Amino acid sequence: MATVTERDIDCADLSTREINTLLRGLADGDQVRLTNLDARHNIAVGLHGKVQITIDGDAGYYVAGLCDGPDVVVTGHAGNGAAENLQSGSLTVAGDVGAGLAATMRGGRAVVAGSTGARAGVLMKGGDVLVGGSVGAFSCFMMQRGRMVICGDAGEHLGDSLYEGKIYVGGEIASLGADAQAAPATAEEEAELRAHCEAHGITPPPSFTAVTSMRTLYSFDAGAWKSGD
Amino acid sequence: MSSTNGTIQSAALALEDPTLGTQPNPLFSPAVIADIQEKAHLGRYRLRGFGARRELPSLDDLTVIPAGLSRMALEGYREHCSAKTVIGTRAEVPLTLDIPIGIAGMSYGALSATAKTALGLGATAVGTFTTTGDGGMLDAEREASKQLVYQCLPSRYGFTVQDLQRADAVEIVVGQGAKPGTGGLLLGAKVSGEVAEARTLPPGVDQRSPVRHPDWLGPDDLVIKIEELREATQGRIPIMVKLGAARVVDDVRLAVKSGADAVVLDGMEGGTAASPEMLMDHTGIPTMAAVVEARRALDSMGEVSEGVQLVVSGGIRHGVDVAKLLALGADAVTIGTAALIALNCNKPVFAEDYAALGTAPGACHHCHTGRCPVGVATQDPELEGRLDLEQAATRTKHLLQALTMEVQMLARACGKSSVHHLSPEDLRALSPSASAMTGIPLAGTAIPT
Repeated sequence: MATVTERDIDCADLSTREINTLLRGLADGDQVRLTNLDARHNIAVGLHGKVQITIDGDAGYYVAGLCDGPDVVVTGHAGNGAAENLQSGSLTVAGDVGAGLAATMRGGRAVVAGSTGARAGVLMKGGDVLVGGSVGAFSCFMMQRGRMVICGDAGEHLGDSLYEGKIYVGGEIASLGADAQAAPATAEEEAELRAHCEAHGITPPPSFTAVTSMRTLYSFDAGAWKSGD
Repeated sequence: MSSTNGTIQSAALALEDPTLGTQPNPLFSPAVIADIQEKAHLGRYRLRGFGARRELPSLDDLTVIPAGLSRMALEGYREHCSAKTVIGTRAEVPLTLDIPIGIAGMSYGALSATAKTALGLGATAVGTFTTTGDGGMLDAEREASKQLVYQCLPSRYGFTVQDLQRADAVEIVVGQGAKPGTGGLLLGAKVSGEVAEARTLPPGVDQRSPVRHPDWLGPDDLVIKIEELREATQGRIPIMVKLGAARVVDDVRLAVKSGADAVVLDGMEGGTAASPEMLMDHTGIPTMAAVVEARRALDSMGEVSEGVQLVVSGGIRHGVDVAKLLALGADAVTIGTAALIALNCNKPVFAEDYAALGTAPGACHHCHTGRCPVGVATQDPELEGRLDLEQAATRTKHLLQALTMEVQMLARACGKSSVHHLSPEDLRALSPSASAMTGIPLAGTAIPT
């Protein structure tokens, strides 16, 4: 039998549906710690409440996905699609995250102390993502709005086809995607980004490069077409 | 020399077949020449709306064979013939419909808000569902629709957990028949302030939707994605997967193995508000062929596909098409273009506005321009004002009702007390190609045993 205490939920014998049902039943302001999850997928998804959930250890795919409100902390690593379509609230991951971190994120905040796989921030529509380490290829692909701060390196095709939004990279950029352009961050931006990193316990890099859209793909004019590699 | 040249030229002209003088070249036809010259002008591929314009093997190549002495017909209009349809029977609350026809996914953005709302009202009036599109869920559409399917598209424009949790089913869109393997398009003329805000885009931008989902990249991931949607909706509603008809057998099997409660299959005759022209005419496979492959794929899976329904769309025009698709193995169908035509698409009114687009009523395929003369495929308030909501809803209802009556009429004529009892045995093929595609015997080839 599962052991439920005032703030701890032992998940060893609970189904994923039972765990999410328990989380859905929490009142605003409640705080819980989930233990013995064994990196299970789809934990803390579809939640609206202003609750605080700590996952003790690793989480699988889609942790804090489809949420509007909760603050979720993962003390280990997280799988693909973490904070997918997050509308408000936050996800904080102490370790690394798989591919598709904060895909289609609309609002709120995601903070990853480690690194992420490919396609971080893909189709972001808002919100704020901070990655202490590096991100993989095609990150911020077709980003629409919001901010992605990467303290480490970025993989190939960063910001490919982005509409709007802003990307900051502290390390090396393997390559920019179509329609993305890079420039040094302004002094004002540097100061704000340093404070932002420090506020979340992440050591900022010496400087940042800002990546934005050239907006040449805003129309179907042939002038923007390139044959590719 | 000049006289020599003149002699040679005259002789060459004399050898020419005079009947060829004004005949178009069949390979480089006037349409092909115009296409090449237009692309030479534009420097890009051409775009348009509506759907495929080429002739394709179609359901017209099949005929329904009613009852005679070998079976008894039911009395038309009087005897009971059920049209009840259930989709997503494995879910706690499936879609339960009075008719086997729903409204296909079409976006707010491609369509006006009035058109979307009218489709919802019309569908509700006859006990069926409508579907959102690549622009999120409108409040008015939700209120108008008793049963509303919420599309989960790669773009996730306007996708929220609140709308997900007030939906009656989810349709994960992998592809669409008009342009399988590519994402959506919405040209700047239709990206109004409201549409831009709903999609989190700059107003007026030529919007390209992605084709790949952002948070899953293959069927292994899709298993987990479907479970995520089930968790967010507590397993209450059906989760469906929509495919553009292309690699049908493998795709259907993978959708089912990924956990889909129903498979929605859209043939290449399916409509679109904007697409590269070449894709509509030259990619995918026709609806008639697709439904047969899909049914075979489902039936080959044994218990795994038990309780998985097949919903088919793509170029459905009338109840005969519906009856044939049900007979070939569909559990339900959806209509898109036909529903828009019911709203007033291509109606011979405002002829001068069709002319301004370079077209005419009955031939218009200019959905992509945003200048729809009848207020269906536009975001222009003045044009949208031409579409009366209540009248449009009534026409939608009437069309769905008429199509269902046609299906029931055919089912009764075949001696069936439910439209779902129609089977391949109720069909004959009228062409060798239709017979080869469907496995339906060619008419005239029956041999007494």
